[in-house]
Amino acid sequence: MISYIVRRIFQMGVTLVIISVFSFLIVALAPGDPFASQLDPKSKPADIERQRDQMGYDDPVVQKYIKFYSQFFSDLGAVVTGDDTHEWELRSARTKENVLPTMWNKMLITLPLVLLTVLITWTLSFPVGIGSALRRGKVPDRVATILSYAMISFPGFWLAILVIKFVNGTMGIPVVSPYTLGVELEGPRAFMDATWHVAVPAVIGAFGGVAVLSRYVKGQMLEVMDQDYIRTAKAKGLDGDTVYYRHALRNASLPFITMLAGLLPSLFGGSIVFEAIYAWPGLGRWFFEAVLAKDLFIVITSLFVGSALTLVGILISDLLYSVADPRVKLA
Amino acid sequence: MWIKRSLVIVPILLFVFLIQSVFWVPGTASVANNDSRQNRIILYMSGNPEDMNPWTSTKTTDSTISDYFFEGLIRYNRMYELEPWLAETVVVKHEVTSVVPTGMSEADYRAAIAAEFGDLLGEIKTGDELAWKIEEEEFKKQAGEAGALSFIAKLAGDHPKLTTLRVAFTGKPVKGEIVSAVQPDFKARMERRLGRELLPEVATAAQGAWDAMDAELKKDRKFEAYKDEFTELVQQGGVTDVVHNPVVDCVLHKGVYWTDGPFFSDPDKTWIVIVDGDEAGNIVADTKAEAISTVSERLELGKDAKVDAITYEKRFGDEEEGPWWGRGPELGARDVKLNFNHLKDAAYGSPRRSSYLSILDIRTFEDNRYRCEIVFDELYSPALADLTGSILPYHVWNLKAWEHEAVRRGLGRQDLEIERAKYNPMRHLRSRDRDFALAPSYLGAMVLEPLNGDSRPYWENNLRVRLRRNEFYWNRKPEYEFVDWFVFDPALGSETSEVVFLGGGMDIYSAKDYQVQRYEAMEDKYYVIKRQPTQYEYIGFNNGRDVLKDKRVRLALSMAINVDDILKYVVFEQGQRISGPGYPVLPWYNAEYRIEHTWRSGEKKGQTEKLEFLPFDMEEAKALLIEAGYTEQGGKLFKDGKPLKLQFVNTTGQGARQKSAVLAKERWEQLGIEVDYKTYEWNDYIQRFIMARNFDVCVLGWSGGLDFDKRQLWGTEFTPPNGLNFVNYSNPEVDKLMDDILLEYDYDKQVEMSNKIFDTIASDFPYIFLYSPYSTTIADRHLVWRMEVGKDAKGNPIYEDRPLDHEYIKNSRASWRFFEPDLIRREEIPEFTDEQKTR
Repeated sequence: MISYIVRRIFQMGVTLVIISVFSFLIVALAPGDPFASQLDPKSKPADIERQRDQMGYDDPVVQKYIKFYSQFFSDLGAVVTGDDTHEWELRSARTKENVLPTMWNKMLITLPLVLLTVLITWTLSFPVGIGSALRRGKVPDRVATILSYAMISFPGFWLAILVIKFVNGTMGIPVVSPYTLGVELEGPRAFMDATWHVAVPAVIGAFGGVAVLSRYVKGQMLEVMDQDYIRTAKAKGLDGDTVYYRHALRNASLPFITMLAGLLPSLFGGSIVFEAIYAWPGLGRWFFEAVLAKDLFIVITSLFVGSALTLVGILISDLLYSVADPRVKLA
Repeated sequence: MWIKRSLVIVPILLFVFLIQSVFWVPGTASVANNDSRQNRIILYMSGNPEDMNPWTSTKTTDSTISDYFFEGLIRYNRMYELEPWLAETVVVKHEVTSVVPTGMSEADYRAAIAAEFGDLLGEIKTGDELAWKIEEEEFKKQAGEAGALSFIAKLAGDHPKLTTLRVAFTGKPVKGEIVSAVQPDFKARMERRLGRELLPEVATAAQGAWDAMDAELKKDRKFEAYKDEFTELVQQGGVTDVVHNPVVDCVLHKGVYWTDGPFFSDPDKTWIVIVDGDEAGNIVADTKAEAISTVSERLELGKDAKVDAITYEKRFGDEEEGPWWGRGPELGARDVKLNFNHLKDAAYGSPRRSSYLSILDIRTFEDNRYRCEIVFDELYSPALADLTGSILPYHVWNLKAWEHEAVRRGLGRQDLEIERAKYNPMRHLRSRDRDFALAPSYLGAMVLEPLNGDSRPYWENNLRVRLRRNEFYWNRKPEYEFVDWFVFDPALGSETSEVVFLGGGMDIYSAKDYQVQRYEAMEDKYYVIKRQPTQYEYIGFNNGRDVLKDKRVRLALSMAINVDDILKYVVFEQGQRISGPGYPVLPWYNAEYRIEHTWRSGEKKGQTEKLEFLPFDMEEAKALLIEAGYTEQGGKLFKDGKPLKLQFVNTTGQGARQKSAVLAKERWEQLGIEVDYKTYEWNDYIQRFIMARNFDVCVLGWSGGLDFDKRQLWGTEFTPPNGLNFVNYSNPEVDKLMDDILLEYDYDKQVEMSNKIFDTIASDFPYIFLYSPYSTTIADRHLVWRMEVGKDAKGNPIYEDRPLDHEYIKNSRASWRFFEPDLIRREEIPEFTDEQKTR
C-alpha cells in the first residue's frame, strides 16, 4: 500500500509538472494582458509600459514560468507553515492583492455554500434514486423522472434569478449575499439569517446534481438488484429492507466513491454562476473575474491548485475504493 | 433498518432546519424602514475595492471609496470647472526667463517688458549668463558626417555670451477662484514690440554657415534640416530665447486636520511619535517613556535625535473600546511637497508618475507653513487639473515613518545594519504594500469603519464597505453618519442588485438603458436622474487605409447609418446624439457646430446646407461613392476593377456596440459594399486588431477625463504604440491647435480653441460619432437634498430639504455623487411644492 501511494505521488508530481507547463503556456501566450487592453485615454503609454514592466509581463515566457512557480512555492510554504512574517510575492496584476492568502479567504467563504450544496445533493439523491428503483414504473418513479429532467433542463442561472425575483421581490424575504443587507443582526438571529442565505443558493445549486445523481443511483440499484446474490438473499428469506439497504445499496454505492474524486476540486472551485448571482464573494467569482481580466497569476494559480486537488481527489478515491471493495487490489 | 430510516430522516431534518431559518430573516419591509436607515445611505458598486492609496490604485472601485478619504489642492466643481479646494487661494504665476536681445541694453529690455505687460508684472531679476554650446559629435551623428563637418566649420567660432532676465507675472489672490497670470504669448508680444527676433543668432549663424558651404555638400540635405537640428542642439546646450515656468502658488486653508485610526486600544496608550519634529506614526505603549524608547530602538536613532510622543486628545468613535479615530497633524505645505516629490520618484511606483515629472520644484516658506509654490518646467495648462489629485499625509509618508513601518515588519533590516545612511525603506517596503493601502489616514468627509474587527482590510472583500462620517472634516460634514457600499458582480449581479434595490435594501441604483422607462413609470416612488458621463460611442475608420483615405467615402459610410435608429432601438433613447469628438457634458464639445454639406443627389442636389447631424440618406451615400470613383455592377461597388470591401472588426458580446455594428453592416451591404465582419475576444481584439491598426472599421467608445488634451486620440504622432490614435488620423491644423491649446491658461480661450479642434476633426469624418449614453440613477424618494439656503444672524448656515430633481442639481454637469454628502433619508416620502423644486 505504501509503495503504491509513493509511486502514485511521484506520478502525480510528474503529471502536475506537465499540467503546469501547458496551463502556463496556454494562459501566458494568449493575446492580451490587463494593461495593454486598457484603452484608457487618461493613461499615458509610458505609465502603462511601466506597470507591465513592474509585473514582468514582457519577460520571456520561460523566465516568467520559473519566476511564477518560485514565487508560488515560496508563498505556499508560508501558507503551510503559517509564517506570519512572510512577505507575499505572488500578486494579482490588476489588484496587487496577494494571491494565495486571498485564495484561502475566498475558499472559506465558498466552503459553506459548496458543502451545503453537496450535502443536499447527496442526501436527496439517494432516497430519490432508491425510491425510484424500488418503485420502478410506478407514480413516484415517474414523478421523480419528470422532475429530474426538468431540473436538468432548466438553466441554473435562470432558476436562480427566478427564485430571487420571487422570494426577494414578491415574498419580500431577502436571499441575496451571505446575510441580509441593510440591517444589523446579532447572535442566533444572525446565524439563522446566514443559514437562510446559504440555503437558497445551495438548494438551487443542488438541483442539477440531485437530478443527475438520483438517476445514477437508480441505475446502479436496478443493476445490482438483478444480480444473483440479491436473488439468493431474497430466496434465503431475508426481508426486503435488509436485501435492498444492506446488500444492494452497499454494492450499488461503490461507483460513487469514484465521484468523490471530483468533490475536492469542486469544494475549491465553488460555483461561478451562483456566487455571482447571489452576490457571494467567493472563489468562483474571483477566478471568473480574473479570467476576464487576463489576470495571469490568479488564473494560473487557480488552475494549478485545482489540478493538484483533482489529482489528490483521484488518489483518495482510489484508496477508498480499495478499502470498500476487497476485490480491488492496489499494485 | 437504520440505513433506510436515516435516508429518510436526514434529508427531512436538513430541510426542516434550513426552512425554519426563514423565520429569523427580516423582511424587506423592515430592511427598508429600520432605524439604522435614517442615518445612512446604502449604495452599490460593481467590483471590489482593493487599494486605498489613490496614487497606486488603478481601479474605479478603489477611487469610488478612496475619494471619500482624500482631497486635492483644487477640485472640479458642480459645473466641471476648476476651483480652489484645500488651497484657499490659487494663483497661477508665470516665470519667464528670456535672453536680453543682442545689441540691446538690459535696461532698455526691462523697460520694454514693463511697458508691454504693465500691471501683471511682478519682479524682474537678472539671470545667469549663457554661452552657446553644441556637441559636435552629436551634431555630426544627426546631420550626416561630411555635411556636418563643413557646416560646423563654417560657423563663427566664438559666439556671444547672452544675459538672461527672469520675469515674474503674478496676480492678486481671490478666494474661491483660480487666478491666472500666465502670458503664453510673451515672446510674440515682445518681438512685436521690439520689432525684431529675441534671439536671431542661431538662425543667422546657421544661415551664414549654410551659405558658405560647398554646393556639392548641400546636394543631399536641405538647409531647413541642418538648421532645425543645429537649433535643437544649441537649445539642448542651454540656450533658448524664452523659457516658461508656470508656478502655482497655493495658500492652504488653516484648520484642516488629518484623521488617524481606527484604533482599538485605550486612547491614553496610543501615541503619536514625533522624531526631530516630524510625526512618525502611531504606537501603542503603556507610558510615554516606553513609546519613545520603543521607537528609538526600532529606528536605531542617533543620540542627537529628539523624540517625543503625545496622545490623541481629540477623537471620535467608541473611545472606551474602539474603534476610535484621533485628530492627527494639521495639513501644511510639507504634505504637498512630499506628495509631489514622491510621485516623481520612480521607486514610489505610481502608475500616474509621468503626469508629475513636469514639476521642477515645490517651494515651501519658513514664514508661512500653509503656502507652497509648485513650479512646472513648461507651459502645459492641463497640468493644473493634475493638482486635483489627492494629497497624502506627510506624517505617514515621510521616509522616517516609512522606515518605522518597514522595520516593524522586519523588512530590510539587514541593510539597516550595514549602513544606515544608505537605507531606503522604499526599496524594502513598496508603497502598494504599506499598511496605508488598507488603512489610510483621512482628510476627506468619511473614514473606514472596520467590519472585520481589527484585521485588515477593514471592508468585507467583494461584499461590503462601510464608511463613517469624519467628525474632524474641515468642510461641511455629510448629513448621514454612515455609507454602506454593497459589492455586486458586474456581469451576473446586475439583476440581483435591482431586486435588492426594489426590496428597499439600497437607496440608489444605476439603471441600465432598458430599465429606465420602467422607473419613469414609477416616479411617485423613485427619482430618475439622468446624467451624461464623459463617454461617447463611435464607429472608427482606419483613415490610413487606401479605401478610406478619401473623405467622401467616410462621409458616405457615415450617411448610410441611421444613428437615430441606433438610439431608439439599441439604447432605448438613453443617449444623446453627438456630431463630433467630445463629451457633450463638457465645454470642449461644440454644440453649435454645423456640418457643411453640399448635396450630390435628390431635390437639394447642388445646394449647400449646414446640418446639426448627418442625415441618414442611402441615395446620397451612393452618390458620394460614385463621385469618389466607384461604379455599381450587379449591386456591388467597384473601383479599378476591385470591389469595395471593408474589414469590419468588433469585440464579442451582445451589447450596444454589437447591435450598432450589425445595423451598420447591413446598411453598408445594401449600398453594395462587401463587409467582412468578425468579432473577437476583447484582448485579442485590442491587441491584434486595434492597436495593430489591422482593420478598416471598428466599433469602440471613449470614456475619458475632463481636460481638453486630446492628442492621445488625434495627434499625428500618437499612433500606437505612442498613443491611441489607431485610426491613423492626421491633420496638421489639428496638431497645431492641440499643441497651442496646451499653452493657454485662459478658460474662454481654451473653450474657443477646443471648439475649433472639435469642428476641424468633425468635418474630417474620421469616426462616425454616434452618441453619448446617459448614466441614469434611480433614487428612492425617501431621500432628500439638504440644501443650504442662507445664514442665520450668527453666520451659521440654514438648511432646508429639497427634492433630488431640484433645478440646481438638474442643471449641474457633475454626477449625482457631487451632491451625495448633502443627501439624507426621511422616514416618509416628503411632498415638495413646485417652488421647492426650483428655489
